[in-house]
Amino acid sequence: MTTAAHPDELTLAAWSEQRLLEFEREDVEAHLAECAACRALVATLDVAAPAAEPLGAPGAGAAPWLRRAPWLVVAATAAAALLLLVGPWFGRGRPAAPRLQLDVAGRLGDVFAETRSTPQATGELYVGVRLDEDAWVRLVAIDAAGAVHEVPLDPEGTTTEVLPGGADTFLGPFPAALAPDNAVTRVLALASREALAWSAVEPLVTDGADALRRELHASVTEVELAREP
Amino acid sequence: MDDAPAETWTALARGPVHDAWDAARARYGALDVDRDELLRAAVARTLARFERAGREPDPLAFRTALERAALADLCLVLAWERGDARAWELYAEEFEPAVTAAARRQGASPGRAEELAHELPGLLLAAEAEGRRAPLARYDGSGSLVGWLGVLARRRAIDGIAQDARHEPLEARDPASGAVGPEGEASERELAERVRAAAAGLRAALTPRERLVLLLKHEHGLAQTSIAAHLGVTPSRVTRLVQHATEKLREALAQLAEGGAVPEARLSHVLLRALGAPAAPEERA
Repeated sequence: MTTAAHPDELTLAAWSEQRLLEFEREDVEAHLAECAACRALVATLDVAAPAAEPLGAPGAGAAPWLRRAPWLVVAATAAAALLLLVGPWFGRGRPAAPRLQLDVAGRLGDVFAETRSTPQATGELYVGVRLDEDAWVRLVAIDAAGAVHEVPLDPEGTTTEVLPGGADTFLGPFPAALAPDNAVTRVLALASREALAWSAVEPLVTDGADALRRELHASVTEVELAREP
Repeated sequence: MDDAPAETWTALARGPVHDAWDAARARYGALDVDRDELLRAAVARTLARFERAGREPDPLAFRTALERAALADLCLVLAWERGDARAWELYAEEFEPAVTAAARRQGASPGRAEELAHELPGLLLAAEAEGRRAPLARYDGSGSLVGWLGVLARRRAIDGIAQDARHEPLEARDPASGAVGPEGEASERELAERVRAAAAGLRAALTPRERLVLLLKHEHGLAQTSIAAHLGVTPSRVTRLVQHATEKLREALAQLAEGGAVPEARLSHVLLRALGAPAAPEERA
């Protein structure tokens, strides 16, 4: 986007309301960095202050079954890691996580990470997340037929969760039934913008937490989408 | 996933659209738009949004776009397009005051601001030249209706003020510009050249977001909390961005100030002004 092609009014409104997708936001900000006229316009816009809305205190919403795992060192990035595995799910009680009013707050962010491979999931599904700051997280699995399954993060079916920043956190195990016939083709993670960067790796099969950790550690092969400096 | 069938898009949209339809009924009352109509419009206009951006839609980005969209407002817009009189009453009740206020804040006179608010529905419905669809038909909910109308009013207010300003003599607008002697001119030219080079270096060193933060802070005087609200990040994140950008600005200033007699405060001012100007074509290349 150049100074000659100003974003339309709807795009500028959407930008100021933090509703744009990542690629749209990047385009607008690149334009604003160049265009004094648009900058002057948006500087006068009233903005809601999502940053003023508490994301929750550090660890808010973090259930007991979220385990911190400081062993995970992702050499390539100081920012983040998203890891997926497969295993049993229900049977562990946890307090209900706060729900995010997505349509109102519009805070849930863009695709920060996704798996690129075809997981051969046969057991438990774990997700390991490493965030720099507290962030809302949501997971979506897409099966071979193109159907989208929101991954419930607790037995009550909550689909969004605040995860604490500054540490690795494991979610799961999730039900194998999430992916009928183990036909998940992609697992995608969304995070609010406070998640500065993520990495994604293949979901793995494991028979327990120790094996999980070893495999996760060994499998951090693809680090991507470190979007912000 | 890029070649997902139409049913996938519809399935992805159903949840957010149904929620939005309920929200629209709660907020605006019964409108002459049914849920399936809203669903079809939401899918088509969201896919068109990806197309305009030259992007293949993928399911997650598509769903994210819908979850963030003001779909209840899209429902109202569909009713407007249909000519629903009750829906247009809502414009006068709920939106016109906000539009007037937005134009006023942009410097329009009270009379002009009211005029703009009255004109806006006609502009929204008017088909544009070159076969383009009316602005209302392009509304996809990516921003809220009140936000969109507010920006439209502000831009039109700015255009009106700019037209008025064209009749003013240049001197009236730039009291700082004055005659400079030949020596001063050479010195100014040299400084301008150095500033241009420093700005180009600084532009290359900063990310677009760092540059934007720096300019919103120094050029427009926005507080870091306001910048954070604009960018949708935490104030602490903005603080870090400002720190990074300021370090690079200082480095550029130090180089620019070497051996010169120009005060750093002035250099900082002209450097930031140069940074806020569009990049030269060779820089963009």
